[in-house]
Amino acid sequence: MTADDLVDLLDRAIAGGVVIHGDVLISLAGVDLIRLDLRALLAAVDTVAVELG
Amino acid sequence: MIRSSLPADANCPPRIHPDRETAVYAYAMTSPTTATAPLRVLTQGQLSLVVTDTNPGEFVEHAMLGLVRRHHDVVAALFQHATVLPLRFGTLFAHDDAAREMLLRCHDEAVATLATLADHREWGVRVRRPGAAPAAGLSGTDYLAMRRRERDGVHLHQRLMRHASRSTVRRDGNLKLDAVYLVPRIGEKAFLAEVGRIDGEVDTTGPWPPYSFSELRTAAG
Repeated sequence: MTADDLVDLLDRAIAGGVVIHGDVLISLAGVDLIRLDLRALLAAVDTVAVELG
Repeated sequence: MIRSSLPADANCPPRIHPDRETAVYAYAMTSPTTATAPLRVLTQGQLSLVVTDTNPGEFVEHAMLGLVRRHHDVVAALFQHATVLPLRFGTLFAHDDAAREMLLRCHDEAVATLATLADHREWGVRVRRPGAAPAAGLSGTDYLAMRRRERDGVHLHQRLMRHASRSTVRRDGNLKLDAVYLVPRIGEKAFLAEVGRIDGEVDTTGPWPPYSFSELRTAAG
């Protein structure tokens, strides 16, 4: 998988898909999971891009 | 498992306690189906939710990329044999009852949406335009060139839409076209042939499960 493929995947899995609220628990330990993973994932993408580049 | 007696509030969802050992991770909705361990299926009426029991403690930063890949691998595997409504990465329920309540709430809309997604796959198309985007302070010539590129992009989009059921177009000044199309399988050959006739540097991705076309008003409420 190239860095571009990975960005396409993250783009879909994190920004796409059905969003569920209400009963659903998308927060862990008081931290908004979506915010947490975006930050972590962008860092990871940078790392992969450097490795591939 | 003890449930809160307070009603769920969309603005303040209940939190999973970090010490909680299990939660229910949801991958996708499908028509009634079956699954093999570690996946499980919760079914209400004509709607199934594919889930797995997970430890919320797994969702730590350094593991996140692998977890996203796992999410996609499961959704993609389901998508090989069924129409799916992928859930956004990171959807966790405290227990099956909470997931079932969600299924009941959005049952009708989800079943109808699955019907519109049947036999379709998602394709992304990006067309680069030559040269860099002009900076602020466009000259008249730059402006006309920009407008021409925009028009070209719209024209390209219209050509591709002849073979697609739905689309989402992104505004990106550096690209002539950046769009995602929901294409019926029966029309994929024609769609890809049309993509192949585009002049310029074209980047096509797919086929994807319909991540970009999975929205449920009744689930978000």
